[in-house]
Amino acid sequence: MKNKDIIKMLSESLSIEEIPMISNLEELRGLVNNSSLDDYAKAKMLKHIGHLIKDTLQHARIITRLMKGAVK
Amino acid sequence: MSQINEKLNKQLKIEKNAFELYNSFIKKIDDFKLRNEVIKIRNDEKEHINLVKEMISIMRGYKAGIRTTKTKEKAINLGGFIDKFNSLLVMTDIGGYAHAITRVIEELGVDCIYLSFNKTPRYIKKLLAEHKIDLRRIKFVNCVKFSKEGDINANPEALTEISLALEEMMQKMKGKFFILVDTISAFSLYHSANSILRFVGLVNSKLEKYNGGIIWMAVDDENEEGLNEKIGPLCDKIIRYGS
Repeated sequence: MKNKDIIKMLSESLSIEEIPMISNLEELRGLVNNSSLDDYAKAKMLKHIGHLIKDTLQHARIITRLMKGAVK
Repeated sequence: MSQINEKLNKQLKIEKNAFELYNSFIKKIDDFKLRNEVIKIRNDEKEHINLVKEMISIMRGYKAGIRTTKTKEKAINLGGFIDKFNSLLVMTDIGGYAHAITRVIEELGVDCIYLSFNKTPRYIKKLLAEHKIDLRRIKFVNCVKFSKEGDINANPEALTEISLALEEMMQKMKGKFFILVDTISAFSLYHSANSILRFVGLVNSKLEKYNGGIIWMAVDDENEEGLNEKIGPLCDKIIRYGS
């Protein structure tokens, strides 16, 4: 696989990872926080959302690093 | 709530798309190191799909009027069990489940049919004896693949056989009683989720004929939650015990 293809592939995944996922998850977190869910369900949902946000940010960082490596 | 569902469905779609995208990348990448990094991300996406599905199940439970109650205290609220409702799913972590069982039997104080699915009930018997619970009020159905003297034995692979054995015992019970299934999670060793759900539905429906109730003990961990979430709606009440 050529470098330009790798960069294209990584930028495609970055656009999937970073923008739609993070914004959707942040909105979801806000909705759950303000919902009338019971404490247990709310805590479980927020824990999962927090996990997803953390992983997604981490993915975005890894992809950015890989892209930099492919550019060099 | 509908906005949350909307966001969750959107998230599920994004996660599934990401999973497919990374899967397609992996096939094209020659570089070993890069490939491994993408495989790790792809595996995370798989886990994410399960997390989102779990959140969707929580929301479905709300829609169906099911409320999860977390019992941090060591008591389990069993008020109305047998009299007002017959089936109960008790989810507990693996560390707390033996305690949950003794608690349930202690609190109900009525005759019990104890279905031990994947292990001999030796440890539970000892534990119950330590709690000064009268073992004469408990009839043990043993589903491990060797006979245990004094207990009723059933083949774990034959759900019909287990169901018939339970019904035969229900017919013989005098007064209030309950069946304790230890654990429904272990059924997945031998049976598909659909077979387990049919079995749960069948046994729950039979109890209506008798003056009894049933408690399905389930291990509440990430691997089992898919099954637990499906069993939940088949039961009248769900209790989370411990963690």
